[in-house]
Amino acid sequence: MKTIKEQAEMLARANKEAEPAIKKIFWFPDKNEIRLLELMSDVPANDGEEIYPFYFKPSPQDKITYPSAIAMIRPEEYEKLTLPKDWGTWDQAREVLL
Amino acid sequence: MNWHEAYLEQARSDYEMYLKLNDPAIEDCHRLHYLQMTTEKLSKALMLTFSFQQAAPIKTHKALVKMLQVIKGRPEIRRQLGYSNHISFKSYIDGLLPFADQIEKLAPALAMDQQNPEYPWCHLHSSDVIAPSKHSFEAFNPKNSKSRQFMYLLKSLLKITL
Repeated sequence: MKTIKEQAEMLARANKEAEPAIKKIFWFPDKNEIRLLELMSDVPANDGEEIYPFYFKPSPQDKITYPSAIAMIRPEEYEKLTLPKDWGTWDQAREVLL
Repeated sequence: MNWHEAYLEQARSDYEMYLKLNDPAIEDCHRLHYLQMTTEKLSKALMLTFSFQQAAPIKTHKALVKMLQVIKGRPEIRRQLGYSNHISFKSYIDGLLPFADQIEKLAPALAMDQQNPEYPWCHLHSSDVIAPSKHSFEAFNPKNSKSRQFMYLLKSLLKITL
């Protein structure tokens, strides 16, 4: 079984492949949940200050054995909005090489 | 049930009401009100964790379009909706995003005092006050192809495991 970091990177690359317009993806390390923040210009501007991720259950058939939380914002909103609760600070973001 | 399940359940119930209101004898506004609520609750269900703890309120009506953009990257959803590859799935979802955006903007908070299914608004050019019950909402005619395609997607999302 891949580590959570490996699964986060695999999911990030799969998301980029599914949507090439994604410019960057950041991983926020957590031991229990894959947390990805994706930057794409063609999403609606965030409504308010808070970032709301979308949550998904594990999908072992797709080699995703951890639950995941995926948030999508515009590039210009990066570091300007409030991260989800428990995600820590912007300094903890790790860019995934796509 | 947890918060995610409860929102999903309510979205399904709102959808059943939408179906009951899909009757030419009933004004479009009522059907569309339930359509907007169904899509918002479905999207918010995915914004809630699978926890039994009190969920913090989700203070946005802008959920549907982002939800559809995020699910393009979910292989388990793509597979359950019957798409074998991400290219055709992306094309399918992208084709419905403009229509989804129109539905999202039916929420009065996003309608910017223009057409919405709940509250009267003032026509931009004529200053006439328009009641939703007297407005035709032609863009959402259930007979038009985008409307039919979107409703098929919505029905499918409400059925699968999310």
